[in-house]
Amino acid sequence: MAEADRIMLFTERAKAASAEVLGPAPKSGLAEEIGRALSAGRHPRAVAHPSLLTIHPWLEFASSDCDLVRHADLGIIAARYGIARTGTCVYEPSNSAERLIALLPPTCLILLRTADIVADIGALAAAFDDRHAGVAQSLFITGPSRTGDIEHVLTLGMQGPGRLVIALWHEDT
Amino acid sequence: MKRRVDDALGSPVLRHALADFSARYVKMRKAAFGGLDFEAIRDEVVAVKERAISERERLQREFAEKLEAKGGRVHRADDSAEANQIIRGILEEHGARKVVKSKSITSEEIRLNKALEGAGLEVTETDLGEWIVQLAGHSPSHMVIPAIHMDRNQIAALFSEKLGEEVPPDIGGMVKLARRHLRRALTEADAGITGANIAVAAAGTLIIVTNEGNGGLATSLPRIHIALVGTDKLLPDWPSAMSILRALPPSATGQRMSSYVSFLTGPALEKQHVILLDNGRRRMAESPDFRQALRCLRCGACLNVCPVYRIIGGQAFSHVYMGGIGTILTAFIHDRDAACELAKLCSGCRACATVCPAGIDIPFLIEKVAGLAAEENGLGPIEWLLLRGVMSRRRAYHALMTSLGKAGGILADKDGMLKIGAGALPSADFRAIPVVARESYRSSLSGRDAREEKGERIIFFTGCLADFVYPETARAAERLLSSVGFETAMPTGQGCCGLPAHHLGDAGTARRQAAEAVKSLSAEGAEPIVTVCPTCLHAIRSLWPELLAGTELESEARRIAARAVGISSFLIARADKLRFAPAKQKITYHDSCHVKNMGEGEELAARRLLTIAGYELVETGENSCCGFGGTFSVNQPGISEKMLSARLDSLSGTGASCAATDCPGCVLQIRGGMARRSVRFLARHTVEYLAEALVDSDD
Repeated sequence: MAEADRIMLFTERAKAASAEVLGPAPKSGLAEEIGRALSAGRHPRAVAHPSLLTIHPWLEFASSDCDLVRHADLGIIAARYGIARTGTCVYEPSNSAERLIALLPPTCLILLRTADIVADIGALAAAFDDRHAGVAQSLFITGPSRTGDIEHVLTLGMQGPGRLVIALWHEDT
Repeated sequence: MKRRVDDALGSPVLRHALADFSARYVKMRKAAFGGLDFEAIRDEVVAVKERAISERERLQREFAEKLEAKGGRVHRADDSAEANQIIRGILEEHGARKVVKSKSITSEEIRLNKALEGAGLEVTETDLGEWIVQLAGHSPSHMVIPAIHMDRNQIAALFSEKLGEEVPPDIGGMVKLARRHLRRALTEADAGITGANIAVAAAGTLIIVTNEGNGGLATSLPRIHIALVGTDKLLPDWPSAMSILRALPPSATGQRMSSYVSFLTGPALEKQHVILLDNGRRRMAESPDFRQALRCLRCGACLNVCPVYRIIGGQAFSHVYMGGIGTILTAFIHDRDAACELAKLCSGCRACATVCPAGIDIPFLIEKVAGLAAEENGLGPIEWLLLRGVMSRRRAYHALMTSLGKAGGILADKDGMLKIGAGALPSADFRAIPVVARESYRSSLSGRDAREEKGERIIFFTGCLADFVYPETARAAERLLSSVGFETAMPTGQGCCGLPAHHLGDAGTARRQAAEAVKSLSAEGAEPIVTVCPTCLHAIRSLWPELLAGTELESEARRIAARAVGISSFLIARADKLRFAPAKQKITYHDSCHVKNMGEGEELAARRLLTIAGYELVETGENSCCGFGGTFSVNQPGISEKMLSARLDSLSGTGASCAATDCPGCVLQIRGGMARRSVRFLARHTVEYLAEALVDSDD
């Protein structure tokens, strides 16, 4: 499957799983894209995975402090992979606080580089075999937290984020 | 069990919820597997799980070694008592008082909550459905949706009572309220207890699949993580884990992927303990028959399509593992006697086998469980009389049917239904029962010698109902076969196919019947064997080779299985030779379970034939089971009645005044139900409608 097809399929499937998908935008235009999408909701207390500060210098906040994460309105993480067929983001936190950035705040923003989108879950198996340590604490995220436990009515935000925004980006050309 | 079944039958909330979910699930599952080859995925799961079962001891050692190298600790428990003791010990050692749990059916299996609460610990389930049933003091009624038996009003009343505030029956509001309460419990907990959907031996990694995200939270917020993992969850490596992740969410909830899949390797915070639980799994692995049940992914797909489960729900099973697979697991994990009782709830429709992503032949194993009961306790008096006294002696059985046919005139009402019923067997009076025909199909053949007829020959295996009760079905089939150039030969040595006896656990009688039938058919050459009964077709194809494996008749049984074909499939391949005077009648079609679940397209062939014959075919919204299931409708009249009632409503709702089906058993059930409703609605075998519209070649 060509990269353009993977991006298209990923976008379709992630939206079908109730995620919002932005982009793809060039890396330099990503901040503006995200700013527009999130301006509707105010997120004064945002936390981001520390590694994002070096990748996206426009981010000014980062924390691995559990207490900060617990009280944040917005958690920002970067996905290591995307899975097109299921609209899934694969996040690889290295500790529990980093995992909680994706789970505790009511809104989660995931940055995903389009070149990292694979076609199917099977494509990950080989990558996982090569990188045992990296995948040890992986978290697959497909849409926001949900439940259908009462009368099968789909309700978002049961335990984790009720809003999931995925920002697709690519290197500037 | 009867009381629990009666309670369930008396709950319209439950029945509505289950029917609604079941209908939605079928569509969602289909969409989630869309674009994928389900059979290929299933084959992969079977291969992966079989390998894991064969290597289970090595995988346990490897998993423990890898996890302990990452700072976790692995314990092994032989049974529930030992597992509970280990978990209590860990909590005590770390001074834990407050415990949160992420949904774990394995923890239900060992009754962990009871053990922990008995030790004075505060336990909170964090999955919404589990929390609801915990507050209500109920047991879960579905493996994936535990509170499916309660509606919003009941849950609002429960929340109001238990949480000390007035809670309106607004689902969004109740979910927010639950989030608040559960978030507090998660942040205050000392320990999080989870199960695991997969344990990857090569990496020492646990994989937990949830939609709410509570699996990730219960393992990341409390300082101690305890995972209770059945040894059947161990897999060798990442590729095998990915194979399971591809099959599990579509099968469980009809999603392409669940919202959160958490990988955990070693402690997230302070400590991680993993308890590998055996609890009967080793015994299951060592049983040649039951070993396949260890492939179960606990997805609940078999429940979601089970026509009996959708009437009575999971609580009627009274054990943690419910439905078809529950009957099998209960026999090894909990209580063999109870499992033998649960086996009687199976209608034998085989819907579960069509959707099981692990390729487990659930109906076959349920019959094996029924067989264990028959071996240990013997057959009940009625079953003994019916199976051993009558049906296992073909000549006596046929003589009895012939005598009943002669007495039919006295016993029948004006519609050909048995006059007695309401007085003699009130619970079975939900449908009228037909009398045996005055002249059976086989009697009508006497004096004819099929071998002298012209044309190619087929062997006709009528089945008991088309032979003795509905000979008009057999005659219609004969006429159609003749029209396409085949003469029918009915070996008179054919008796019952053996499936009813096998379903009741009497494998000995079934084997004798299969052997007699195989001998009778093997004397007839190599022609196709055509049947008008899908249950007989299933017996010929699958049951006879299985029952006669290892005997001198095995190879003959396999040859006969390869020759067998359903009447509609046989005719559609020769439809160009059929001439019809267009019937121009509105008709609906009822899918017999054994037709649609055999996956051979017999129902599609029947629909095409009816259309070719000029019938205006109208479909019912949902093609549910009519509740016949042979002896099932006699043993479980309450459930059968509810199934029939729903089916009659949907058939009548089409506006057609008649239904075709390819199963004489379904004809009996639907016709009998409509007769009790005093509705003019005719149910007949497809071949009768086709024969009615047929223009004979010499006309």
